[in-house]
Amino acid sequence: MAEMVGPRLYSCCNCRNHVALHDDVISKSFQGRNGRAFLFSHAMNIVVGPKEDRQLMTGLHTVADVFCSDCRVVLGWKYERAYEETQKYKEGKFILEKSKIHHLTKEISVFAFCHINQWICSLHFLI
Amino acid sequence: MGSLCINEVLRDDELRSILSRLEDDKDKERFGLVCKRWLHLQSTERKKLSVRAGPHMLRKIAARFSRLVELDLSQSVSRSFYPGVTDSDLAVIADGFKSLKLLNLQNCKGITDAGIASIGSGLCSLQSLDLSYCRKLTDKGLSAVAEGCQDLRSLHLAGCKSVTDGTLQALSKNCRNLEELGLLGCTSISDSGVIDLVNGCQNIKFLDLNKCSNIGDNGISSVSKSCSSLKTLKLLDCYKVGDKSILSLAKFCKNLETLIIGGCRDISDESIKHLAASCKSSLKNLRMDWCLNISDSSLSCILSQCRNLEALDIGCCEEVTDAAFQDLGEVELSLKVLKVNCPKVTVVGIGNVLEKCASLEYIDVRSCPHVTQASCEEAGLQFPQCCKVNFAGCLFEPDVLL
Repeated sequence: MAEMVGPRLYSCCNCRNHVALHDDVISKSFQGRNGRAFLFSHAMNIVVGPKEDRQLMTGLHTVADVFCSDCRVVLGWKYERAYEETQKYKEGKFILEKSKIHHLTKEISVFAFCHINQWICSLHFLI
Repeated sequence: MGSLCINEVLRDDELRSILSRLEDDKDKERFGLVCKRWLHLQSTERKKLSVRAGPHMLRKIAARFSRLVELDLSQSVSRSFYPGVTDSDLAVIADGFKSLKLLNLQNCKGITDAGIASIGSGLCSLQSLDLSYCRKLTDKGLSAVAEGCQDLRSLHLAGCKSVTDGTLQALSKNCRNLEELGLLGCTSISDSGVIDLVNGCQNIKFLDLNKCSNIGDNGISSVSKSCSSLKTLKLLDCYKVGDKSILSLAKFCKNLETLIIGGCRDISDESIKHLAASCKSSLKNLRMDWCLNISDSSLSCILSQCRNLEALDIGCCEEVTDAAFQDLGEVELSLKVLKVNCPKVTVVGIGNVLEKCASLEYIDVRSCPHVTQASCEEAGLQFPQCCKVNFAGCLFEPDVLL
């Protein structure tokens, strides 16, 4: 139906600022503050806040909240340092909460589908 | 009356002497505008240069500034001009700057083994080389550098993830005068490589093994035994390093000034007490955050014995309480930077610290549940004039403990 032109992107839910690429998703099964979250290897157009030591479910970590660079909404956090050896793979990576980001290209294809569907229905009506 | 041409009478030495008395860089450049002879003198006097140039320009620079001693081609972390410094640029540099002693190639992500091999064969007087984050480099190129630049004093390889024990062996064999070695994030190196390294390089004063998670007690014990003039040792998150290493450092390295053992969770009070006693006059900077076994007994030894201590980080040392900061004696502490993010510390402990530390410049309490701006005001705490207090993590942090 809709051809995917360009990279598959995630954007800020508030202002549509592009913040991550689908290619950079490492895992979709993380737990954020308010539900499901994704682990990304990179994020862009974001501002990293001050570092904090926090006890998470997986142990002691140094994390820093991550904000949209345009509208400053909190999108998730960055893992700066991990105490447990099994958690070290997360260092330098980003958690973005599913509720705070939109999968941009999916939206465009759904939008196109609805439009075309409407057009077909209206044609049918005429006939 | 014949006219006297100053330029004919003055010899090169005298003109150089005049040039050396010019303080302003602009004046030195103007000196070079007088005539070709003065330009040559000014260009060959030039010792340091920072450039961003392609191969054609580099050749011209090499021809003009032939006696350059320091060359800075470092790039920025994120954005860089494409393609940045390349292997062929390095060949031009190796050919043209024969007097070079210092070369900075930090973040020149495009260079490979072929490029630095030419540096190795061309620049035999090189003493200082910064290859941090040149991630394509491997043992092959770095061994060529070691073999060619045998007078190396300082080598930085932070983020060069492909470095293994092979590079350390090459350094041990060839670079006996090595004093500074940076290996941050070189996760492939092991104890046996470090043991080989210090066998040959016994003058090491600065060793950065931050995030080299395979390093353990065997490696560090041999470092302390071989390198008695060690001043700085960084072992951030080297979780295999324990008491044996600290006891060894206490025994052999009496000049230790900076020790970073954050995340070395097996280190206990006993070895830290020995360290405090042994390095009481030399220790200036100590970072032992995330060392969960450290408690009041060793911390108070550090505070009361290490009179020259300037920076201390005991973040997340969960056993530390206010008691560590009591009974520290009559003498003032020289502490300038204190990071005390311990869950049990309250405003009472902070108050005791403030009584003894008039020179405090930065104090970090962002993760202390009981120490907030409100609770400090309520307790009437007086922070020194120039002291920055980090309650919420928003302040720019000093990097002395990194």
